[in-house]
Amino acid sequence: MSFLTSSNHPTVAEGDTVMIYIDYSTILAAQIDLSAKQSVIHTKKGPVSLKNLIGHRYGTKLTCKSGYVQILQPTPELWTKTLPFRTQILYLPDISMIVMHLDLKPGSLVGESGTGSGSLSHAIARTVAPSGHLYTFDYHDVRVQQARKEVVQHGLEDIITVQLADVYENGYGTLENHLDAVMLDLPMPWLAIPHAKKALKKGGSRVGSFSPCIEQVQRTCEELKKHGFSDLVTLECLMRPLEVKVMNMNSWQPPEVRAAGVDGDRRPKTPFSQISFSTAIIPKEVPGHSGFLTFASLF
Amino acid sequence: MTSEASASLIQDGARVIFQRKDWSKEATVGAGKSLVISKLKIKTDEVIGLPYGTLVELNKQTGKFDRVEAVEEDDFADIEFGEAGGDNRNLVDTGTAQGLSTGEIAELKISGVKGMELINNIVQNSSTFGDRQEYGKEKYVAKKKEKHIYRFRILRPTLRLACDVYSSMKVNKINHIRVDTLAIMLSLSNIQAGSKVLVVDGVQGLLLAAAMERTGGTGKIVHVHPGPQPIIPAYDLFGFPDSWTDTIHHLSIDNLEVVSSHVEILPKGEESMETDGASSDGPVEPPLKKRKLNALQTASANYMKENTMDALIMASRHHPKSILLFLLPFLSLSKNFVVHCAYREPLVDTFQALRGLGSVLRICLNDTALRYYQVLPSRTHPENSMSGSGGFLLSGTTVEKGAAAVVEKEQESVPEDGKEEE
Repeated sequence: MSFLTSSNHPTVAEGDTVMIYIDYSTILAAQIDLSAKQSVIHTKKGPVSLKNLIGHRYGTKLTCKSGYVQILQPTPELWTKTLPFRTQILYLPDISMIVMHLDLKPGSLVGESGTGSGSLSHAIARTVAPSGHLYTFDYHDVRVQQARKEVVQHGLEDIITVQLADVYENGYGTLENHLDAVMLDLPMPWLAIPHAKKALKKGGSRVGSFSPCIEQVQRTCEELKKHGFSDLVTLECLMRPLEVKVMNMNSWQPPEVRAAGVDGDRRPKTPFSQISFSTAIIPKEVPGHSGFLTFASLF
Repeated sequence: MTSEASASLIQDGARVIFQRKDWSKEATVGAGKSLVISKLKIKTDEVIGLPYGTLVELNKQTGKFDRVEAVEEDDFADIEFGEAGGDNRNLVDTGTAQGLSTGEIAELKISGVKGMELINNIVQNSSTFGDRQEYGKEKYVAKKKEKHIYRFRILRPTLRLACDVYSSMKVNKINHIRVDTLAIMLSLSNIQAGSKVLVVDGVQGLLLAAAMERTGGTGKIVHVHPGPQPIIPAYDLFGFPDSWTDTIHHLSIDNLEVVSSHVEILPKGEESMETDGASSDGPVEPPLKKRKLNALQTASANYMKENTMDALIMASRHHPKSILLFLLPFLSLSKNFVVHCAYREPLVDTFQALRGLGSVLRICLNDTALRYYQVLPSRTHPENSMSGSGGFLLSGTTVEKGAAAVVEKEQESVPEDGKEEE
C-alpha cells in the first residue's frame, strides 16, 4: 500500500511493505501480513517481529537484541536493493537514464519486456502514476506470477499490468498505436522491434533497449533503422560511490623550517609533521560495465 | 480524433526545441518571435501547423526553414565507407586537398545546393578523401556536416531535450548538471505525482522544471531561488500550464531565515516595533525576530512553516552545507534528499557534517560517468570526446534523531531455522 507517496501514511500499518535498515550494506524488505507464516525476521542485530512494527512511525529506530534497526518507507530504489533476484536486474543509473530517455512522466503509457525481477517496473510505475500505465510482459510463468503478487502487495495494481507472453512471437498483445514508450530488456531485442513499432504511437514515441554486449547493440541499431526509428543514441552510464574519509600524510620539513623549531623552543625530533585532510576516495573496484542503452524515436 | 490530431501540430505560442544532432535550441513559435542560428535571425511563425517531429533545414539563401522530407538520417549514399583499418601512407598535408574554394562552397549554398548534396560535393572534391583511413573519413564527413548543414527536428520540450539545450552551449549556467546526474537525482529523491518538493535551484530553473515534470502539477513545490526574483529560463522553456505553475511557492534565498520558527513575518508596509536583525546577537534564547515581506514571499514562508516536505533537491552556486542543514528539518521522516555540486570538496564537507547529525541515514557521495557510442556496421566505437564530469551527488534519507524509542519486545526463543540474514 505504500510505494506511492500519495498513499503513504506516516506509521506502519498492516499490508505495508517496510524496508528494514540493518547497516550500511544490509537492508531487508518485509511485508506486514499478520496472516503470513513468517512473522519474525532474523537479522544480525537480532530478531525483528513484524507485528511489533505496526503503529510505529517510519524513520524511527527499533531496539533489537544487539543494537537497533531502522524502518523506512519503501521506494523503488530500496526495492532494487532488496528484491528477490529472479534474473539479472537493472540498477539505479541505468534505471534513471531509461526513465529520463523514454521521456516518462505522470500519464505516460509504457510497455516493458521482460519483466524480470521487476526492478525497473517499480521505477516506471512511480513516475507514470497515477494516470499512466505500465504493461509489462515476460515469457516465464513463475516470474509473472511472482511479479503479479508483488504488484498487489506494493499497491501498484492500478498502475502495472503483468502479462505472460512471448513478445518475440506475439508482440504486445492487443496494444496497437497506444504506447508512449517501450523498453526492451531482452536477450534478442531486435526480434521485438517490429512488435514495439506496432504498439507505439506515431509522432514522437520512444523506444529503449538494454543489452550487455555490443554485438546485440549492433543488431538492435540495424533493426531500429530498418523499421524507420530515428535519432538513435547508444550510451553507457556508470555511477561510482566515493568514500569520504579523513586521511593523514607525513609531510617532510625542509631543514630551515626544522631549524626554526616549533613554537620557537625545540627542534622537532623527526623531519616529518602530519597533515590531515578530508577527501573522497575512489574505491579500488568500481562498476565498469552494466550494459549499453540504446534509445530511438518513432515519428 | 480531430483534437488529438491537432494536438500533434505545432500551435501558435508553443514552446519548442529545435534539435540538431550535436546541439539544440529552444524557441517560442509565433508572430514576431524569432531564433538566432549561425548569426541568422529566423522567424518561427512559419513552423506553425507543422506536425511535431518535422525535420527542417535552414536555407541560408532565404533565411527560412525548408521542410525536409523523411530521409535516412545518415544517408551518404555516394560516400564509400569500408571496414575499419584502411591505409594512410599516401596522405600528405599540402593544404590543396580540397578542390573547392571557400567562395565556391558559398556559391553552391547560395545556388540552393544544400544538405547531403553539398557534403557529397565537398567530399568528392577532396582529392585525399579516398586515401584516408575509414576512421578518418568518418570524422571528415562529420566535421563537414557540422559546418555546413543546419538541419533540425522540431520537438516538444522534455527534460531530456532541455538537458541537450543546456549541455550544448550553456552548461556552466546549470553548474555542469548532465542528463544522467539529473536523472539520478530524480530517482533518488523519489519525486512523483503528488509530492511536496523542496527545490533549491540556482541552475536557471532546470531542477524546478524537473520537479514540475515529475509531479505533473499535482504536487506542491517550494522553490528557493538566488536573488530577489526567480530567474528560470529552463523552466520557462517547457511552457507548463498556468495551473501547474500555481503549485509553486517561490522563496528568495535572501529571505530563507524567515521560515525558521524564531522569525515572525509581518506584511510589507506595516509598522513594526523592531527592525530586522536589531537584536540578533547576545541572548542564548533567540528572540522573536520580525521580518517584513511581500505577500508572495510571505505565502511561501508560511507554507514552509506549516508543512513538511516529501523530497529535497538542490543544485546551486551556494556552498550546500549550511543550506542543507537548515532545510533538512523541513523534510518528513524517511524522505530523501539529493544535492548536486560541480565540485566534490563542498560535498565532502557536507557529508561529514551530516554524519555527525544522527538524523540522516544512507549518506552517499557519488560520481557518475556517461559515454556515448557511435554504432555503425564494423565501425562501432565510443565517441571521440565525452563529458568530463556531470558533477557530484550527495544523497541521504531522513530518520528520527536520538536513542531508539521503540523496544523490540519479542525476545522469546528464536524459531528453529533462525538463520542470520545476509
